[in-house]
Amino acid sequence: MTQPAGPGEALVPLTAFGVAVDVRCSGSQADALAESLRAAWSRCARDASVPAETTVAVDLDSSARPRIAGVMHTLAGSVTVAAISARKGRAIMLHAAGLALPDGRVVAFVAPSGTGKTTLARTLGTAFGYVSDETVMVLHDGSITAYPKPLSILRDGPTKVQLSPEALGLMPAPPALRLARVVLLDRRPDAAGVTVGDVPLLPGIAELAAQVSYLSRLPTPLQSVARMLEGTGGLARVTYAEAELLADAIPQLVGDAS
Amino acid sequence: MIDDEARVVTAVDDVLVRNGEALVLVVCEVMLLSEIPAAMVQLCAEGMRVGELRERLVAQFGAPAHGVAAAERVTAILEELAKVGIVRIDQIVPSGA
Repeated sequence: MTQPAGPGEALVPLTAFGVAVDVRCSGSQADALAESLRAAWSRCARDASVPAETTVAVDLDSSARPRIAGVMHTLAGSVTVAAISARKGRAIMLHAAGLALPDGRVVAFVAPSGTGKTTLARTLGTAFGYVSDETVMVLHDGSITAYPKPLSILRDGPTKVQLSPEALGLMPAPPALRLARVVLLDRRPDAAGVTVGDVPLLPGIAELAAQVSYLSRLPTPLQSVARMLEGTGGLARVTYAEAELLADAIPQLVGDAS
Repeated sequence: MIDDEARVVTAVDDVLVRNGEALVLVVCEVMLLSEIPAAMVQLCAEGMRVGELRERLVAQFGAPAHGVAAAERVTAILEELAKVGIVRIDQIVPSGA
């Protein structure tokens, strides 16, 4: 059993790729924040009877009057970091957006922050199952647990808001997920159409390494990543200008193209 | 020049070899090595004297081109590898020094 909420505290039990994370809100705006969190993180809600592995605490002091939207944005990062830290050394955690086919095969689109993962997930998540817009965790047997966190979206102003996958009309991912392909995203505004290419293993891992959380904590890190890539058709790269054009490339990436 | 009796030991946390090239992990950094440095990393996994390493490399890859001495070339590569922590070079300290 997770620790119940204390006096003046609001508890939001979440799960992030299988890691049970408690968010504990305190301060005068605790209830309002918890309500916003429950709405935005609806697909990551966890039964409170499952014990938490890690906790994120946030105190909203009314005198500071911080905007809930800003705190929500910071909290999204904190929950992800806490979950990644809890799984270090036990899984390959790709800095990637994940999209699932109806049969559970997942394509992980790897890219650094701010280079197209959320836009991709938001755009194609209406046609493919939304796995994550930030972290795809791959266990050693190739299985994946979804992390359908809120998406950070610019809406009606200069600041981003955290919106639930439901609010954006994103499809839920099937329950049993398995990695089908790892793809490096290369968004270029001047690209004509979509280009898909294979990336040789060693230079590919050298490039991918910066987008693997806690790589050095894995047992035989390079061998583990190589096994993952070699077991899923090798690393690919897609060059594109607009995310919606990538939908047609997904069958080719998973070997379904005729 | 590194002494022939100095001992070279690979100091990487993981290595992945494909088609003669190697990828190495040193702490948190991943580096791609071409064939000769990759061979050095593999030959020195258990430690090897510089003189023996040079002989093995010349046997495997041939003498360097353009009149460069093998000892000079091996020293240059070893110094580069040592600088980024891929190998450790244990120099022999003369007795009584």
